[in-house]
Amino acid sequence: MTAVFKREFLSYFRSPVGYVALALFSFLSGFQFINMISKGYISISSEIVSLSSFFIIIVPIITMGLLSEDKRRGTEILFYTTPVNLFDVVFGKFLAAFALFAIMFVNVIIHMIITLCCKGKVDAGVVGATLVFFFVAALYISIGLFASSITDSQIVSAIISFVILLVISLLTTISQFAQSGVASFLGATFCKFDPAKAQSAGEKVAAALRWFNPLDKTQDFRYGIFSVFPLVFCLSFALVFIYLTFRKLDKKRWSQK
Amino acid sequence: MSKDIRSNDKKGMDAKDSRFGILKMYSLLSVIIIVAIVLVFNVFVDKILGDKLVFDFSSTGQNSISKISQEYIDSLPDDTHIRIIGLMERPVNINDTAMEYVVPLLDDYQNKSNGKITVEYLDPAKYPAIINQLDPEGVYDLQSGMFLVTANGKIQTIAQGDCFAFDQNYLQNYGAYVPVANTVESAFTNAIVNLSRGYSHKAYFVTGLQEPSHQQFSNVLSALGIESADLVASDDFTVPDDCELLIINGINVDISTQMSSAIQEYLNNGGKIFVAVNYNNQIPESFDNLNEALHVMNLNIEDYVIQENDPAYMLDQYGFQSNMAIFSDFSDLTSTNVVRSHYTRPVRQFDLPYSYIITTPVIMTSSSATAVKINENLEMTQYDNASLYTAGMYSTFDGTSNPPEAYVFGTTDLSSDEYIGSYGTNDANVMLLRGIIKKLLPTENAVVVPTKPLSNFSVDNQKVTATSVNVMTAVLMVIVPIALIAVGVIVFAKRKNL
Repeated sequence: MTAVFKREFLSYFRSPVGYVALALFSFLSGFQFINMISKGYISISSEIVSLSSFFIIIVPIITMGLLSEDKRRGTEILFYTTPVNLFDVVFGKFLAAFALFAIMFVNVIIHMIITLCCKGKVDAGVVGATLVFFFVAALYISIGLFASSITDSQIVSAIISFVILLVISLLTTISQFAQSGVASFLGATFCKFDPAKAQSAGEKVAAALRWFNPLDKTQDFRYGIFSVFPLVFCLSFALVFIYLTFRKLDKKRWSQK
Repeated sequence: MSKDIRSNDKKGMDAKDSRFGILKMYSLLSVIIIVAIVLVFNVFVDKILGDKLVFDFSSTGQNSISKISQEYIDSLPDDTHIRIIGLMERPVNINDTAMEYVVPLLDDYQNKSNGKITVEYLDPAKYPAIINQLDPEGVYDLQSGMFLVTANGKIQTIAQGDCFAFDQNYLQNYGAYVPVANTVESAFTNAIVNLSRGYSHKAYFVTGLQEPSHQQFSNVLSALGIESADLVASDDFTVPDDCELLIINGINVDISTQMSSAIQEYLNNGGKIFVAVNYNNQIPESFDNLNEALHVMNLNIEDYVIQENDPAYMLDQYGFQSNMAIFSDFSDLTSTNVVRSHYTRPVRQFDLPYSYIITTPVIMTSSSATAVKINENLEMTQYDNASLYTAGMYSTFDGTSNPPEAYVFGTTDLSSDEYIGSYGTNDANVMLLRGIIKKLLPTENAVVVPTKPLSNFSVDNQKVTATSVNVMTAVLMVIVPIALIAVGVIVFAKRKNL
């Protein structure tokens, strides 16, 4: 796994991808920071939470080539022919992308140092937002990794992961549409004489959809309110996507004819 | 021979297809099982352990109820049912809105009340009948966007404005509400206490005399189990029979002679009064009629402002902001033996010769303070020589069965919304106010939740200058990203032919 991690991590810096991702993140985080400091206040936790919303752009860039590039070049065959555990390959690639995120976070650490030098506040909310940053990043990277495993085109992989992450980010809005849609459908068909029941069903559907939104669950961390469940949620679903990626590769190993 | 080989190949292919089918099934099943396990596990953690595994490390516990509220809720009987209702859709995108301090805290009330408190959000637009159901007689003027606490058939409404203390200076100068402290817990716990226990006393604020708002003072009273109402200044002013405490707070216009007579009658009948006025050089009002009423208690508010000259007491270079020593009889009411005060009028004993009127100083200056008058052009004229001035006095009658009581202050730095909003309810001045009110209207087991200051993310303006912001913009948004892109381009150019 170490070898895969090392190879994949260094590959970010042997191609423009890593530099572009780092430059993009530096610019976006710098913009957030300057926007606040120019108004005379700095909330690092708000900055970190805002940066999480840019994951839908950064994660596809970072993960698009993780497995699809090997497929395109044909080097994927090495995973199946060398004595290396396939899970180690998947996890090594996941860790490499995650390590790149850790390097990106150096920008925020520099902002924290500037904040402290300017007698600003770096409190428990910053620790909470940092936790959220890495746990949500882990979940999103695993989704990007999975998207990369199902195609040999980096562009298609990036589009797939972008769409999935976009849907996750818009789950709250989607849930509102689903609520009114379900309520009006049931109100017009099965619950004609009981609109309250239709409304209640709509609310339940909306709540169920919202339950899958990791960003919704992690909002309180920025205030210093730590909750174990959102972290468990991000981590467990990240493992699910890593497992799905592993199964996707493993399927190819034994389906070779 | 070749037929045998073909037959063996076919058998091998069939075996491979069969193995492929089994592995495919295994793969599919394992994915389904893993996803199901993760879903069930997450639902379990969310529903069973979710609320228990939440830890509030915020500096002021903004989103958690305090020990004070928790202890009161625990003390309520098990069959208590208090409903907190938000007349709105449950707010979802609460970041950077006032609701970020309300919604999580209300959830905490529900989670930690063992079923005694429920929190509901009912949008009147969706449930038009809800307002009629809650308030059939339209007494409470319920409106969309409001919160209400209801128990035992009684309702207490809480507007969003009641949940915050605002920067009064900013409000007066720029007309905008800038919250400086979170009083959400204080407002809801007070409502819960008052509905479950009932108010013990009633106080009236005299209004209509160009005074600023008294919302924070009302909250302090409410926390002490005292219901408050407004008593508007008018020509037919009378003090209601149920008035246990009359409050004249921060008025900028003198009361009328008719009001003065009504207050004198109220005091002569054993009434209790709290008066706090300060010196405002824009409106250097003489409170002749108010003094006429206070003369019943042998007290008089002067028309001058105290200038402190003792450096140990001075809080600004002019001496108009200073510390005031608390007289020993009242020092146990607060945490320190001094209170802050600015633009303070002297309050003196009047010249009535009656020995049954007992007057006691409450707060006073050093012995080197002077009294001056400031005109509209900010020119000062000295009024009195250096001496000790009292800025707050207490008066009562000795030897009577129902003695009147009066606390009169030449400063509003105990009771103004500006002060309470800025310094919170746990400040020494506000503690003195609370102590005085408790002395006037004793209430058993008052539940007082401290104000929570909002997080302050401001930075040192001497370090964050326009120049330093420009430098940071150049470095963080231009130089670093461009340098990274340049390195990327160089790497790409060098490696493209490898």
